[in-house]
Amino acid sequence: MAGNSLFIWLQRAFLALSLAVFLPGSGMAKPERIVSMNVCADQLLLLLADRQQIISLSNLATDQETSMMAEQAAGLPKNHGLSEEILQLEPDLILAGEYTTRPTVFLLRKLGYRVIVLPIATSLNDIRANIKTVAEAVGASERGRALVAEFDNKLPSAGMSENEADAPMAALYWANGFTSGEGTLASSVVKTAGFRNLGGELGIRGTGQVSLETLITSAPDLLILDAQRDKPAMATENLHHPALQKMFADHLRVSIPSNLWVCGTPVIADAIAELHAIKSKIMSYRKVDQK
Amino acid sequence: MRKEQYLIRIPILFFVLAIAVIVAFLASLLVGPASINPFELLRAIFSGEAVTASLIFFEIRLPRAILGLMVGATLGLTGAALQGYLRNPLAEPGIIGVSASASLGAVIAFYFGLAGLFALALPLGGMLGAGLGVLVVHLLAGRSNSPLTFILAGVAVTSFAAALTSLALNMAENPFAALEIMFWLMGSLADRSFEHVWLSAPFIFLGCLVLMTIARPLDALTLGEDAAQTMGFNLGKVRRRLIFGTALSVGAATSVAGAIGFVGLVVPHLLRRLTGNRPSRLLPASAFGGAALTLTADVAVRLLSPGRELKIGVLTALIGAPFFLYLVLRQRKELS
Repeated sequence: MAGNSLFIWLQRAFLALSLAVFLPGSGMAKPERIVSMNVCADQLLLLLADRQQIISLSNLATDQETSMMAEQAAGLPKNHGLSEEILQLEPDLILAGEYTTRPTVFLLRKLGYRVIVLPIATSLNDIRANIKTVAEAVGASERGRALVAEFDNKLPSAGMSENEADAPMAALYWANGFTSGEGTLASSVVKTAGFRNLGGELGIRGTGQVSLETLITSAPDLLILDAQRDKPAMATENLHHPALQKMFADHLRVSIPSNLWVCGTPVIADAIAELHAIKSKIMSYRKVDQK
Repeated sequence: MRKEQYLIRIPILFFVLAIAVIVAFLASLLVGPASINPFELLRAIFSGEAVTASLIFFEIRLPRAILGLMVGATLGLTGAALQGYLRNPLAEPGIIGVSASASLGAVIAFYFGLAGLFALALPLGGMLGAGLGVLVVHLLAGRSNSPLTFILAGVAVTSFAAALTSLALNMAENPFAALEIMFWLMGSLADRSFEHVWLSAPFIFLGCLVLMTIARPLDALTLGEDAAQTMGFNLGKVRRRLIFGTALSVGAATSVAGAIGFVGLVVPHLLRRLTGNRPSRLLPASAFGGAALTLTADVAVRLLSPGRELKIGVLTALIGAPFFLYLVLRQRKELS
């Protein structure tokens, strides 16, 4: 009897093992109850998952100033990244951001939930990697590959391949006089579009402040500003300073809505293409000037 | 006999003050994060060749220096006028709550879209707030001439207005608004433009003119209210002008530069002896002194913490608060 039961036990164990190895395990099946606790994950999720797979998005998902996909997010339930909220939803996949909702992520992982933490995209490669991560997790690898291909197609082919010192300089100028230097998504966008980035050349890593006077004496070719918000604050007054309006012609002073930089989404390729078109114009003016 | 009261002759005093203002004004034009040497600057101004240098000079530094001049003169003058009328050495727009309530008015006008609809809403909000503030303090302190009541009323108005300012900033819909509390409570002249000069200059000028008209009655008032009245001065009229002039000038100044404290306290004290305790001379002298002090403080914040600028009110408070303490201690000694 004892031998028999041992045999049955072994048989079951073997079956379980082979199932785990050869068949896609239950953890890898296409998730059906996906929760996102981060506004950047929200957008990738909306792009890659089927709508019925999504049961909750972050509370910023419908915020026009933060998310590029606020309209698409409308109608879906939202959460605030609180542990109790998330547990009640009985999710089978949870997407979170790198720095937000840390305690919730910790608890959910401890309880055995499948949590994917998306790193913040600081380069175009990060965007590709995040698309791949989310696509594979939601069971839409094919859609992910198509999205990356579409993204790459929109990018200008040349980039910064020309003589670097010759490339025109762009200055990124945000509310409160902040600018983006090396290691930021904005900087890699500007560089891919074929510009040098003033913030990086001033030795700024990450985000740092640049005074109005320094900005003007550096004489960049293009000024990229935060798009104006409707609600007033002194923080954005610097963007309309008369000195900037006098220094840069209208077509050399472009506004980009801040929700484009907040998260790395493939939409950024359109902005890069636009900036690249401006760069080509600047270069052609230069040639005329030289003649 | 009379001449012995003066440590230096009045024309010399005003000459020295004017030189101080001019030097501070020029320093304010020369100091900034972009290092431009004075010769390059002069060439830029007269030739119009070097575009960046002249842009920095005309659009950034000149409006900043002009604002420093106007705001400083306002604070010095109103400090002297308030101290003269109330015969209270601790009176000052910052301490008695006028600056704080002006900030509140400006904050409401600015963050809730009024200033976006019509630009004048900003100084008007500041003036309305300042007017209400000075009126409330006047009512609270009443006719009692006790410095204590007066300062307490000022403290109450200041903290109430500051609390409402924080509340308004926290309720404002722009996410940056809440971070701007420092500007409104401490003041700054950084990155202001000529728009701010045009918005505030007419009101500051008018307010200062109104305050200058009460210089002579304030002379009479040094002899006491009864004496002033028998000399034919209508005290009600003087008070209305004081309130109106203070509201106009401090309200407009605060709406573009935030609440800069203690200038109006320190300057009249430093100059009172030198002007022979006569308000009619102290008022203009304090306007000059206030301008010189504010411009100097504004140059100092740029030199002390380039890039990340200290708020100018932090610096004036660092000088002013110990001075205030010293005055309080001295007054306590005199009373005991």
